Amino acid sequence: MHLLPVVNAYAEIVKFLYHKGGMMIKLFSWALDKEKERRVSILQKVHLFKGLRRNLLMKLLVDLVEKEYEPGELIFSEGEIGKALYIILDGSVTIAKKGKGDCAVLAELQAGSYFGELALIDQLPRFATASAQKRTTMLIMYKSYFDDLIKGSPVISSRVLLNLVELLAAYVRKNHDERT
Amino acid sequence: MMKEPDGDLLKEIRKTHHQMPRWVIGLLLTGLLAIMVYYTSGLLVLILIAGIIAYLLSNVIKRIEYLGIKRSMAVAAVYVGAGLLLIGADILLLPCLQQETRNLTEKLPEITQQAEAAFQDLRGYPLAGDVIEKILSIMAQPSHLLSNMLNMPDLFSQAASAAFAMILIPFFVFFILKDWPAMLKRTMLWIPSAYVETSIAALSEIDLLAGRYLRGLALECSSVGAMAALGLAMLGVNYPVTLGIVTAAANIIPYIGPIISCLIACLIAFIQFKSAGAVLNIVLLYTAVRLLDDFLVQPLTIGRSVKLHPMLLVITIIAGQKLFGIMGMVLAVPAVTILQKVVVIFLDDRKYRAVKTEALKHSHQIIV
Repeated sequence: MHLLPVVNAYAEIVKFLYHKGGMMIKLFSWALDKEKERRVSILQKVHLFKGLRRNLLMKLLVDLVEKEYEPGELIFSEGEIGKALYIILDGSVTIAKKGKGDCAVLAELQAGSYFGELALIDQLPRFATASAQKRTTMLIMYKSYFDDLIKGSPVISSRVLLNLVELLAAYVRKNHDERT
Repeated sequence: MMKEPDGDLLKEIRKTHHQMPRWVIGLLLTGLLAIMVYYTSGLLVLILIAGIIAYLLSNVIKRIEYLGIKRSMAVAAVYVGAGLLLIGADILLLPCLQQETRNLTEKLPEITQQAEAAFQDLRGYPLAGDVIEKILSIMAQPSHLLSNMLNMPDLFSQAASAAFAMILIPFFVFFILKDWPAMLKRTMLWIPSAYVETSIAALSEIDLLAGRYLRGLALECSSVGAMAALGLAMLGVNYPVTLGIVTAAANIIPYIGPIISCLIACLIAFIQFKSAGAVLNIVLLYTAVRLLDDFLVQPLTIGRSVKLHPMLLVITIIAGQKLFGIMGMVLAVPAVTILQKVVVIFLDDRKYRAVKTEALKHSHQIIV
């Protein structure tokens, strides 16, 4: 009987906090990291992480290794064993493939793009060379971290693996279209 | 389109720039590091302790960061939380601990006399005489024994006093915690592109192993200490809290630590009860704690993070003690485990490269 007013008061407090959530965020905005928020919005654009909740993306951002590359710096070379996925946070990257006599630029990737995703599945040699076009900041996801991520939570694993399968399906279709 | 001559020229410049001087620079840096370690080993130990504490706290900091909070704020919040916890522990444990320490200090001359008398009684027994003589000679120089065991002068004398260390360690911990991502980012800048992925592999393995070992060890020691204290209190042995803390601290050193803590508890019980039955009870208690630790606590905490052969484990601990004293004993096992793992990563990398390149030659046959 005595518990009822306490439960009611608690419910009122929860309701107040829920409705004034925006106000609470504003109140503690000085403690929030604006740069992280910006980077999380970049991660939201990465197809591999499509459908993942914001707090999971924040976890990725905190856990992954960050590296800066100077303009023209080599990221990896064609033929090297690939073991990591790269996500561009700032700057741009050129993906090129050696041909007869010169290098063919396959793609120029901007912030929010990623490359090297096949390394998360197999660890075969890279089929192209990647180099920073300008000063570039990247997040690097190593295969063992990806494996831990997949093993750690069924929600994450089903979502990320589905995204990865979608990507592979797109590659197969593209390859098939080019052949026919 | 990328021009090939530019790329080749760039590679050539990198080759000529890096190849030869790297050996010389590496050799010079190693020499410089060895000299620095020799002259500032005390300070390095303080930094090492601060590093371990920071590492243990880093998971909490990360969890706060996952909420989108600034790292500096997360560190400040952890410091406030740790301060409150310490105050809480002070309120709960300190009076009991103070009373036990005061009792122990007051009764130390009496205890020593009682111990000597008890040992005198045992002298008549065959074989016991020599052992008792040795124990009594060691007891006559307790400070010498302690300094030999802990190698404390080597640890702290060159750096600062223990009080100075108490101020310096939290100071170092704060800045290691706050600036760790920036330090890592700066280190990554120095790593050549070809080694980035392997370095990250090594880093993530180190993080995994060291994290599992250190956090597990902290949990395991606390559980073992609590179990021992509870058991000692139930047996009616004096100073259960102090002995529990000693047991927890000694448990850090594999194999040897639990034996030392058991011997100390046996000594206290023997002096208090003057009977072999009490000593037997203590031995049974410590055996039970050991079994619980081995079969229940350890699998849940440290798990299989340490995959060293028992013989290699003991050799590692002894070598660690010879080189760096008590800190060497504590850190030898995780250090060797990590080293073992990193060597395996680099060897695997070379082996994998050869195997996969061979597999790739036939990959089209597999796909088709």
